[in-house]
Amino acid sequence: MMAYLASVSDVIIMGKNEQNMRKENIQGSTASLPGLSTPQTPEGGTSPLRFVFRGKWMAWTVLLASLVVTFFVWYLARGVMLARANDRFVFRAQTIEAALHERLHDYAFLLQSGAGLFVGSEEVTRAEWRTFANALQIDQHYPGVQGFGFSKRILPSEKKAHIRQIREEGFPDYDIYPDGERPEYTSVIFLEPFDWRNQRAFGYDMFSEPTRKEAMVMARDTGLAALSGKITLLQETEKDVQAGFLMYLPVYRNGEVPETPGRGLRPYWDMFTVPSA
Amino acid sequence: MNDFMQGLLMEKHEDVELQVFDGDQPLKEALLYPSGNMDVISRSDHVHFAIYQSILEYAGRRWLLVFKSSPYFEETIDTGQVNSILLLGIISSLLLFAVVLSLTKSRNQALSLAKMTLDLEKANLGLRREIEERKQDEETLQRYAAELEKKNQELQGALAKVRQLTGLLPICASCKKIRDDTGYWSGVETYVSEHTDAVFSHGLCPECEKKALEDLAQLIRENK
Repeated sequence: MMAYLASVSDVIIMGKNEQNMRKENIQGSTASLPGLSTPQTPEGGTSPLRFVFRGKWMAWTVLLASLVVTFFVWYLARGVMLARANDRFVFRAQTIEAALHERLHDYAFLLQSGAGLFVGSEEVTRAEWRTFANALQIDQHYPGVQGFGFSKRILPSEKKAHIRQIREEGFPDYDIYPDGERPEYTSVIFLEPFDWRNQRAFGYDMFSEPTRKEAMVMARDTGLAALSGKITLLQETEKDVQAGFLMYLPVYRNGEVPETPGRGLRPYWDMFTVPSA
Repeated sequence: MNDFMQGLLMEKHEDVELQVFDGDQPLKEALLYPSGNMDVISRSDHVHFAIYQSILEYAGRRWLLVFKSSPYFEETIDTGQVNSILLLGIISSLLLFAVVLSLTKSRNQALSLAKMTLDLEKANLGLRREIEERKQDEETLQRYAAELEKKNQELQGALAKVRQLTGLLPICASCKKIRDDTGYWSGVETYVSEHTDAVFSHGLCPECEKKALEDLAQLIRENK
């Protein structure tokens, strides 16, 4: 654009020169006209640029320049648009991420409420646990939660008495599984809602399975909620098996909460568990 | 995981495809959750507009979240506005090009016209000078012609006078009167002064003076 204007002013100035020249010519001068000389002949103070801005080259120069500007602006605008689209995408992703985080947080609260029940009660019976779990309206408020369970930790010396106790509660087939001698056992004794799916987990020793055990140990040692790795829940049937996970929260029988993680074995602990899929 | 994720993502008009992996690595065996819109079509060659990964750390566990833009999202990216900039820009560039081209053309035309005008003016000037010279010549000629005419007239006048005094003049042998064309006799002085520019002044030649004096003396003597 500047080049164009410069050239226009050039024409104007040249016009003046020509007028002057005309006067001289009338007075008898036969000097040649610099304004009319061909572009190839070098003039005083001209540059190669002047050649470009002359004649038919100027139009092409203008075309090229404006196309370059157009493409540059287009490129910028495109970049802005793509950046905005990317921002929208990232915002959506982060929204989902935050919602996910919040759901996990809800699980931890759910577990904490169970701990509250146990700490506040001398002994929690199966019926009380059922009432408590129903009151929480888990299926409505906690998406994915398959049940709210309580796992009791059992030492080998306590095992027989424990089994007998549960069987007396009206479950004659109750046993801790898988079978085998282990230094310590856990058993899912409460799991609400106690439907046929959840009954598959009744009596299961989660400590016998490495993925679950890892999370349980972490929960036990930190006193905080712990999330397990990828597992297939016992509640899953054969078809459409989906991946699941568990969240644990320990409760200590003497009310003790570990001050520092990894202080070794704590003999008196039980575990709340939330299986999710 | 499907139940856990329920309601987080929209079913159809979802902008993202989500995979949740247990751990830091996107390993197939660690896949906890693929979003429902991922298995609509198998698109192994699909290039996603954007991918966003983040680690969700909670309760001692790390989940890798891999968000990919869904085809639905990619369709909603409106390139029309931006492309209209390109289109408009190209159109106005071409217009500008045309304008400058025509301006350049008319400039060149103006320049060549100016040159032509200049040449014409030069030629005109030469012609004008020539005309002036010719006018001067003509004036001189006219002057000469006028002079010539005058001289001619003078000459003709003179010739006429010369013609009046030429030829046979009938003259009286006694009193020397001359007869003109009308038959009238007039004295020599009268005739000559009528037909020429000459005028007469009267005097006596020495012979006549002598004779007149003798005559006068004889008269005086007779009277005595």
